[in-house]
Amino acid sequence: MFRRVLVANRGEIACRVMRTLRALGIDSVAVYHHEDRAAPHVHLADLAVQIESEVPTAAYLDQQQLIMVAQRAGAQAIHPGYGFLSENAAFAAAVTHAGLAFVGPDAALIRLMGDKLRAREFAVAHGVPVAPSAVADDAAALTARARDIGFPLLIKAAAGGGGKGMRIVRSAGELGESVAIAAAEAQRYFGDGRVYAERYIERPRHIEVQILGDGTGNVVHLFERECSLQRRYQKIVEESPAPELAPQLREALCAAAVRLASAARYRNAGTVEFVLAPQGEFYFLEMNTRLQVEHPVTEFVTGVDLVAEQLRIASGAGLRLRQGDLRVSGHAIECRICAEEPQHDFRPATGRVGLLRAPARAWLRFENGVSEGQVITPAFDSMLAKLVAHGATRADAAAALADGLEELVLLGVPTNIDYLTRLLRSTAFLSGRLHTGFLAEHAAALAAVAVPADERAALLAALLAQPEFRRAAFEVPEPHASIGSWRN
Amino acid sequence: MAWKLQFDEHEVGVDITARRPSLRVRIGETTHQVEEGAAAGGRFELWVDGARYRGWRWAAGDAVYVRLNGRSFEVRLPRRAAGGEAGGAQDAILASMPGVVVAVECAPGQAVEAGERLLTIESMKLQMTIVASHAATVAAVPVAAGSAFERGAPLVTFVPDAPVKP
Repeated sequence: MFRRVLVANRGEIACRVMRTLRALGIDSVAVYHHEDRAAPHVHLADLAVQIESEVPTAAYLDQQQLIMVAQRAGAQAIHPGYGFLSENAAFAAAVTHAGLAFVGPDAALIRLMGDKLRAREFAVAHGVPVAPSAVADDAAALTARARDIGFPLLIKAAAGGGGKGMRIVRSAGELGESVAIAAAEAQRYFGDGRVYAERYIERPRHIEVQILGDGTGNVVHLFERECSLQRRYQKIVEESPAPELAPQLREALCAAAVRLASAARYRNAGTVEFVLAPQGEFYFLEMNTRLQVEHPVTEFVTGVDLVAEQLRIASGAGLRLRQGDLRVSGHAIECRICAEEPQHDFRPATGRVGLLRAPARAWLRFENGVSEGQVITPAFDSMLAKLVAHGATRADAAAALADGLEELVLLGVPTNIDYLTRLLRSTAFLSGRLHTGFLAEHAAALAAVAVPADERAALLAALLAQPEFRRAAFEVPEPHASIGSWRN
Repeated sequence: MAWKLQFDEHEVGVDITARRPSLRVRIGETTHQVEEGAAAGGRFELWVDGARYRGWRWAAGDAVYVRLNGRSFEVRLPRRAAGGEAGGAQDAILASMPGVVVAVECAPGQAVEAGERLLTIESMKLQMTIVASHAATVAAVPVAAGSAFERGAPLVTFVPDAPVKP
């Protein structure tokens, strides 16, 4: 096993990886941009090294700098977390070339799965269903072929992800223009303008299967996650197991994921994503060759530390889990706490984290990436933390998570915490009938409801924190110390 | 002594009506008796008309963030409700957060309808379209594709409205 590992990431996932490193007795090396100097991952690591770049995100994307830091710090491996360089084939190759272990699959596999078109072909070749689609080299040919799929259909970027470069087309008249726009967007985001068309599934569910592979074709699955609750094509609530999923369908999904990963001789933790149609057909969407944001729900229900397994596999110790040993116990739900304003179409918000008080319970995991005093800038992703709950049943987990969210204090920047609480307590969510349009469909029911007495008290509490109001109310100004946390 | 403040985006008028024997504060149309309890480390305790409230608060600049009974509230600086404030809608679109301009889709002199696309911006890795909230004529676009802007920066300015509107 490694003695020292560099974590090439920031935020909650860097902290998450370091926690397992510590549990395994492995030294952790953090990297951080100046703007992140107050971030918790810097303090959690055994060694923290500042990385330089004018643009903060660019520092975490600077492959040569990261490898150099790892070598100088005496690390044997680099864990990429998710995002940033986690699915960058060139980085995986460079890390290996530098004599370090990359905690992930090899470059060729990342390249295969990163190219949506090649990944789809690979899936088809191994008996994993894909949605009816049209592929062509130029826009005119694609437009012509796409008509045969029928409407509505989706235009997607071959190099895409996260909804970027994706468009829904509902009639033949919009097709030509949509192909052109999607290609331009794909070119801008991914430097690769190739797009393809795919049948659009109405009211789809997004179900994914967690797998672990040792690189020799040995693969186990750790069951599925339901990830249908999304806004702006980004997940905000995930759970395991998926509610209202027939046992045969669950088995078929997990078997398809194992088949694909095994055929690819996949090494590392990975996720095979599927779209599930209301009638029960499912189609391969893509494979993520890294740890997912939502991995804690799987860890809660299976009791497996996925980061520990990733490290074991990367160190060459192989896969020690057998399919027969894996069971689902209870139900787990995760929600992503983001700096955003749900009442304004979830637009991102900025601010400074002033107060942070998280509930500590055996059935909760607070995966946190921020600390008090930290400035939330638009430089990075708007996700600040995650709260995850485990319960005996789905209803128990939802109630525990909503209780935990109500207890959570994160002040100084607008967040979606209250929105998530309402969502988890809503009858629509508790019914378990989820699909990717769920949040839009139930927007009215999920809007905030006025509680006049609380609003009055909050307003008065705020006023009493303002020196000018205090002077007017009490005539003699009191020393600032007596009004708690007020600061200028 | 009156204040106008911004409470979760609504404007609320507040007035102190009595200081003794206890503090009385008028909020909108109703007056409430207010007593403070202990406050430390961000915690507060408050009695409003005899009912007790305990929560957390954090003041930053002109904003106070309050956490009470599992909900968060944002209150903006009390401003004296003296006259002389500039009235009417602003003749500019100001950035609500820092970001980068992806594309400029309008030009000075152009007449735009409500809902018409003006700009595409990107902030925190999300793209957003800025649309016109009302029919107007673009006066200037002080930003260009690729340029970064700070919170509060004008993105598009409009020619001031003609005084007569239907």
